[in-house]
Amino acid sequence: MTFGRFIWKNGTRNKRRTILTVLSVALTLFVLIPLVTFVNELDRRLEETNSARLVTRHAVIWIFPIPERYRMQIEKIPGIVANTPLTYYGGVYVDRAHTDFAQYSCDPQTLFDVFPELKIPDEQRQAFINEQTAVVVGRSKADKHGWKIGDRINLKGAVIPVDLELIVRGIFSGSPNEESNIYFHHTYLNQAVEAQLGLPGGLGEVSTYWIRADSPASVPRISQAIDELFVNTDKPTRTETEKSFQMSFVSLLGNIKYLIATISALIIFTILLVTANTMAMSVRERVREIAVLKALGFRRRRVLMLLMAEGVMITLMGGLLGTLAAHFVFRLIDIAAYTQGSFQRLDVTWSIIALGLIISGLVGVVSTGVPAYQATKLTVAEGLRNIG
Amino acid sequence: MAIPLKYNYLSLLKRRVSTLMTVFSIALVVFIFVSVMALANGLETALIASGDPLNVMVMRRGSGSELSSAVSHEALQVLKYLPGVQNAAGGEPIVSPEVFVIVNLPRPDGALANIAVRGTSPVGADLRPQLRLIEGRMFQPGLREVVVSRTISRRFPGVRLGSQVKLGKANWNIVGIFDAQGTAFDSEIWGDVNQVAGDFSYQDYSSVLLRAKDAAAVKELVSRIESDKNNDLTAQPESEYYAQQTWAAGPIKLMGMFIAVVMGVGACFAAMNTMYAAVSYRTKEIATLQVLGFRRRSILISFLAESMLVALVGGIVGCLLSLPVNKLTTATTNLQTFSEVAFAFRTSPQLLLIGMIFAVMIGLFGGLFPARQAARQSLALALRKG
Amino acid sequence: MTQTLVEIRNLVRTFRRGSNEVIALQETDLDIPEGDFLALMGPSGSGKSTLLNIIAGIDKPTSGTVSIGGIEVQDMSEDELAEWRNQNIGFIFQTFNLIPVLTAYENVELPLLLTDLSSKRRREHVMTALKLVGLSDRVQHYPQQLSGGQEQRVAIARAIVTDPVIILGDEPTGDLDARSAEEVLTLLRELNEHSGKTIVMVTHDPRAAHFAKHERHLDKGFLLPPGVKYVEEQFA
Repeated sequence: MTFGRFIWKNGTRNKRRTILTVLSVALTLFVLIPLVTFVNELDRRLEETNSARLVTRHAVIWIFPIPERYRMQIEKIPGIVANTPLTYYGGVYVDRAHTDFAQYSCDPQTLFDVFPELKIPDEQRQAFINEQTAVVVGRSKADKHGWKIGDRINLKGAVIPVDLELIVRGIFSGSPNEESNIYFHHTYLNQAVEAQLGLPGGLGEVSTYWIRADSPASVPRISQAIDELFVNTDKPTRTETEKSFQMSFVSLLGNIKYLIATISALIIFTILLVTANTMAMSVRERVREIAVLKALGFRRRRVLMLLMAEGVMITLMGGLLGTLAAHFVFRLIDIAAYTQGSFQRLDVTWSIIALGLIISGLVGVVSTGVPAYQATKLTVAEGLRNIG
Repeated sequence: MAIPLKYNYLSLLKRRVSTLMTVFSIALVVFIFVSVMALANGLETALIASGDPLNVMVMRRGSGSELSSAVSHEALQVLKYLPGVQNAAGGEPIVSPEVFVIVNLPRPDGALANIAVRGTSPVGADLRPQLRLIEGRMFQPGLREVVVSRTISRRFPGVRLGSQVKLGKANWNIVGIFDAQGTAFDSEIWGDVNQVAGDFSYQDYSSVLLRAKDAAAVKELVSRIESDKNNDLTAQPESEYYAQQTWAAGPIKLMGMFIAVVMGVGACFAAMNTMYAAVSYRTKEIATLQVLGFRRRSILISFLAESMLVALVGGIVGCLLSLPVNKLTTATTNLQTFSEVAFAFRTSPQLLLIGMIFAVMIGLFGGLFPARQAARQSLALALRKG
Repeated sequence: MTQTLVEIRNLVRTFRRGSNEVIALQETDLDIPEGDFLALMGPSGSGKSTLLNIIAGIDKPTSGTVSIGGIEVQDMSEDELAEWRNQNIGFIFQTFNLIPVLTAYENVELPLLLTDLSSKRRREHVMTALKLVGLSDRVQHYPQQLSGGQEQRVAIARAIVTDPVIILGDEPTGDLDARSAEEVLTLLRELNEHSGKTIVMVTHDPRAAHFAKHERHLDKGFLLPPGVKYVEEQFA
């Protein structure tokens, strides 16, 4: 026998109780994990940003467009490597449920220079540039919708009320968030607007300019220079790093992080109560045995450790069960379709699983600690007198 | 013969700490459930209750919200005189052309929030009877004056009656504070339509609100505007417009249900553990009860009652905990207009009732198996064990 | 001459019960020679278990000195005492106090987990101890599969497995029927006579005391002189 086996035998002595406790910890973790994952997903968006990339948008809010002619003036500023307008089209593919990706019009010449992390074969890139109705799509979305080179994608206008007929000419790969986008020619969007809405010359405006600077060090200078250009116009701009631009999306959700943190804390507190209650029961029933162990020469701290290890073992089993279940169950849910592409996945990563295990381990330590401390504090004589 | 409840009460009291912990874990589950549902409820109310079904909202075809819509001054003249539009006492049609813009206001933490500004008219105010002025007076047409909701004046420092707020390029005087009773207008600042349009260089109106004579006229107006291909407009009852924006409440509700159901099952297991322990501690007592002539069913009911009692108290505590959350204001973004929607948690009697039912279910399922075990306990075995 | 193993001087043990001070043991002196088998007798509350617990290092004296094998234990810290108990004391309880989730083998092995013996060496010790108590064929049995007498024999094996200098028994036959009690007492006597183990046993059963070499009686906290017996109070 080893201490490990002794702990295991003690932890499983009341099988029904152990199973019920393991299951309640598992269920709690199963609830907790998607909440943590959601917050993690928000944070990851910020981490994936490039510190040499800038976004220029309307000073008040990005849904207000800014003129196409700003581009010429912006590009005169030194230190800019590449620049593409991105205009949010916001159309519908088949129906809302299928529209699990975002659609932007861009400058096909410079798109891949601004986003060098997007990988695309050279001949596809050239084909995309050459054809006005061409579209490039992210790998994951191409797989999901079965798009191949030469396929047609018809989009129905919603935010911009014109319909588009696009031909897939390229498939690019990048991060999961990036692969959830498709890009087409801004000139084609303008043409469609002119033809379908009768506006001569098309929109004449774009949502944003995405700019890659030669180094992160030039970013503050460039952003200041751009905003100074338009400060006295009726469409002033705000140029910020990609990260702070993404952050403004996250802050849109308001106190959601705070809300989720509060709910998570309550959930953890609940499971703490539940396991503390169980562990207290199980320790209380063993006060005599604890005294016997001490009489046999077990030091108080060792008995405490054995009890805590037992608690941690039970909560860890629950934690493992709950996080792994979350890992496998939540990837089956097509979150992108429910959120119209705003969230691509609930990806329970290994680091989240590790976090889940740490939380369950801590729950085990805290919940067992109090009753175990009290029980081991009794002297051997007191413990032996106890009728358990 | 039933075993008196007092017996259960006393045995719960004997295991005070364990009982309290079980009560609190059930209470927390109920509390989380009621609060999240109250959140969804509040968000829904903020948007649904905003529209009056007799108000017809006209926007540009294809625009999902007022923000991307434009209705020309010429179109307004046509809309005004459509049959079915109600006339005021003076014979003027009840029509409110409005401009909807977004401005940035600094939050106390320094971040900029997107706040909706509505340029409207006294008629527009009359069309939304849920909006009541609680301090100061209405804005005057032709002046840079605004009225703000009480929610906004509380959320943003410096936005007070009598002070000035910078909207766009100019400073505006705050002349009144209103309360729109939890509707979407509680997240808006209102000023004169022409003044707002002028300051923000709007050539067109964002939307036009028409008052229909009756429900039939609503339908008629909507179909007439929808079928007119010349002016590229779309119409819908104002209530529908806001109802479309409530989809965000869906996922929150889903989340609340998910958390509640899964945690509820977890709490069930916890209750089961406690009850099984209670049964095993009382093996002798149960045997004694049997010797005294209590039937197995009475013992079953007694233990079930004990578990339900614990759950019931847990449910009550959970509901009580959730009461202070009621009316607590928070904000999120209306994803159609990207402006802030402030809303309050709204607990309702139904929600509390569901919470209680939930707690009782936890008690019922958590107590069932242990109670059955108690009732089936072999008398001889129990007495020998003692 | 045999050496003195346990030397107790001026031992006093008092307890606080509420605001009262209760004296459990009064000014006790006691010498136990090595190889003795001593029965401590007395009515409930006479202080016999307190005396035994103090010798076992489970309880501490209020004043006085306790020297066992030349080592004074009264001032040891809790942790020092625990280690000392593991190496020097074998304790046998009235209610056996085996760990129900462990087999007979594992129960006996338990105190050896605290030593740095290899598992092979542990196995040898455990099997020797179990053989000595006559339970080599019950190695994989759990306590609830054993009779009371067998359980107590496992407990004795657990007590001797570390080869302690002294074996202490607190009413070791109190929960046993007459036959099992005799088996256990015979076993203790054999351990004393053949293996030379020093044994101190608390009992209030005069028949059990006959198995011991000596008897000492306690009454109301006083250790009576050798040969003096306490008088059973008659029920009125």
